[in-house]
Amino acid sequence: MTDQKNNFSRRDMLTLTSQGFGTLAMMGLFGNSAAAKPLLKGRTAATGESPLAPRRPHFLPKARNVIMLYMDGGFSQMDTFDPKPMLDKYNGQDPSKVIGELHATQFQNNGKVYASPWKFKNHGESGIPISSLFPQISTCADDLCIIRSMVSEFPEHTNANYMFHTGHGLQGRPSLGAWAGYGLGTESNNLPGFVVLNGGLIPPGGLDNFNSGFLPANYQGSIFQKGKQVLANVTPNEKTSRLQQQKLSILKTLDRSLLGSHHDAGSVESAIQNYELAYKMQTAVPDLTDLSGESDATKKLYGLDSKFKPTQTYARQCLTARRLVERGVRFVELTCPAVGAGCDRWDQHSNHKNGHERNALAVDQPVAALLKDLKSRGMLDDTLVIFSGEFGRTPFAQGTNGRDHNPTGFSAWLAGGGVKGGHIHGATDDFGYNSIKDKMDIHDFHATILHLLGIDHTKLTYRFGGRDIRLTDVYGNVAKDIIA
Amino acid sequence: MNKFCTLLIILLCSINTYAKDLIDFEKQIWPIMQQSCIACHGQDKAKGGLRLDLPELITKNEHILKPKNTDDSELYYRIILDDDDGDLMPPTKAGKRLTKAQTDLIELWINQGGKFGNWMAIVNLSEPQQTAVNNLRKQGVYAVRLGDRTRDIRIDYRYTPIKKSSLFSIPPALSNLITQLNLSNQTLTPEQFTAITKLSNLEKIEFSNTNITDTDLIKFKSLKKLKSLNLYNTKITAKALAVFAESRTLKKLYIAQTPITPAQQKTLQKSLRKTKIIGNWVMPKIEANPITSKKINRKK
Repeated sequence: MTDQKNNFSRRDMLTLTSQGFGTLAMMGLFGNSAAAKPLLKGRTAATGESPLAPRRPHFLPKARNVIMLYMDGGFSQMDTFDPKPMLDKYNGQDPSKVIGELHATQFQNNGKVYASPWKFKNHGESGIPISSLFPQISTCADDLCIIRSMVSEFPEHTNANYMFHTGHGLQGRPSLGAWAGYGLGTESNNLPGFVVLNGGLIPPGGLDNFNSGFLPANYQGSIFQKGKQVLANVTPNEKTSRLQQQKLSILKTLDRSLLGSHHDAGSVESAIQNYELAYKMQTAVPDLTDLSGESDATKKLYGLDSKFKPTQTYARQCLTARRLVERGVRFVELTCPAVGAGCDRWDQHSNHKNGHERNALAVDQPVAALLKDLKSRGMLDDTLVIFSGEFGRTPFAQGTNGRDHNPTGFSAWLAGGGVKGGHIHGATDDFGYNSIKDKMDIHDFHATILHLLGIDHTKLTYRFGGRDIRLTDVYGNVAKDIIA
Repeated sequence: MNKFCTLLIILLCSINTYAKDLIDFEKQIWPIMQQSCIACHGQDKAKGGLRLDLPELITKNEHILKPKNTDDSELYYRIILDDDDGDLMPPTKAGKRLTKAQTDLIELWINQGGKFGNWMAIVNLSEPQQTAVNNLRKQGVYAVRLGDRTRDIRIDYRYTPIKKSSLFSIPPALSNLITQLNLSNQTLTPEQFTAITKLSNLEKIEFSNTNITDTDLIKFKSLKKLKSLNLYNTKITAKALAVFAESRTLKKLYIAQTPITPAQQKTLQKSLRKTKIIGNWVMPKIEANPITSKKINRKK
């Protein structure tokens, strides 16, 4: 699963020669190429196959696909999946006296301790508490694995978004979806391996959140817009398909002639393959977005008929996500729809109650429908659904009625894909401020997701700039507790 | 660089006498075993019933590897016997004797406790198996191994309609390796369904949106390892599914969009105690949502 040749690097040499007695034996084996292979190497696709051809995982996977419901802006943990009665008790008091030392917030406009405006109830056989913000998701409580101990390194959107998507706080690294495609390829033969269904709001940091970075361009996220026309130019301009084929064939010949002479043959190769994929998508995409084959009951379940427009938008995205996974797309990410009234994203620095209610209303029914639909079709076993923002929010107010960013403790949930259902992992302190038990940082989160996909995160590497680089850098512990 | 390396090795060797570093199985011992042991004691041959290609297989019998006791570990004492000793491994006819340096290394490793570290051996398909996989992939069928340490294969016919005329053509080389099979959206003949029941190691079958009938399905009770069976949107009835009551392995059974009624599902669930039966979703009945009841679509 790496592109490097079987040669000894300086580091390998040092590792081997520091093994003591073993060195003697290694000398005898030096000429042997099998012995000279440093670690598990050479997992690239068979010659002649597309870089997106399916590749075997390291070990038996629990999940084959991922649907990531990205809750852009960072929803509040205390108001959703992590009830904190202490906030009611100390509501309106000075947080620095009640909670203790406070970290710097983005706006440094800290108000009083702010109790949750929503009530919690226990749901399902597991009795997991979920707030009244998500009445429909609550009906799936027994399928959710709630992680209450999430931690990020950044208190600001752009860096936190990069961190969450690429494991690195700065622009330019490959996204989680790109790594998944690089590791496993895709099972679809006419759609990309990593698709982003854009509900309208691209997270701060822009398209670099979905980029392939130093990985080959075949693995980058393809953005599908909302509505019926998801891709520009998907309908060919040429009058006959023969004419289009001839044009493409010339293009391909020209590109191929560059392969030998161009210094960056990889990019040319990726371009050729992307053209071929785009050609196939001319039929695959209209088939994907045509929902006429879906029953009315299914459309209603998702909320395509909702009175709230953003719910309709997200319903179409969630239904399309299921259809993408059905067609073998490895990794699907959904961005949030705009909810209007100045409350776009889960980023309520003010007007918290109204904003969270609008955002919750937009996603609640479609997400619950997605879980139910996947489950009844037997797809939830193989599909990991992720619901998370880049960070959480402060247990005290920003101003009077907002909440500021809080990366030191927040909630996310996983469902399907081999995780325990009706399970709570980790905990924050009495106020939901800091993660105190089974802390899950972003590297741990990524390591766990790759593990569910059958990938050892320490062995999924790509050589760039003289280093074998991982999604998890040199960090990451798999949270084995959450695996069913 | 090479000269530098050689020099470095010689330098380091001279001080190695004092080194107490732990042996790294994957880097130091496994290459020796790959070269000298695995041809006969791997997945292909397993002579004498012994396999040495996975940690749990090596440690299964204490007389093969007894940590910190080389005298009682066959893995060591059988590689240092005299050349004319019939018990010597590898046998004189089969391969070269291990060098002193190699046997010393194995001795040291056992004395250090015989730990495997993070080693995961890569198992390879045999040539006919690999060819069969490649051929399937050329036809557009997705055949993917399920890990480095297994030969189990998932086969997915999502994009390749199976012709009625052809008998379901799983290459014989793979028939024992297939553990997962996706035949969703296919129209198959009864003979083709029967052919699938011969894949005795199947653990997971997806038959959603297929024309499978009760008569076809009953034959699948012969599969002794079946864990998950997906019959979404098929014509299967509760009567046929009752045959799985005896199954000790079946964990999940998907029956949404079949003629099976909720009442029948309940009865069936009682007789299939070890199986979780998943039927149609139910539209959630939610108390009037305080949010939706507001005039939420007002303009800014």
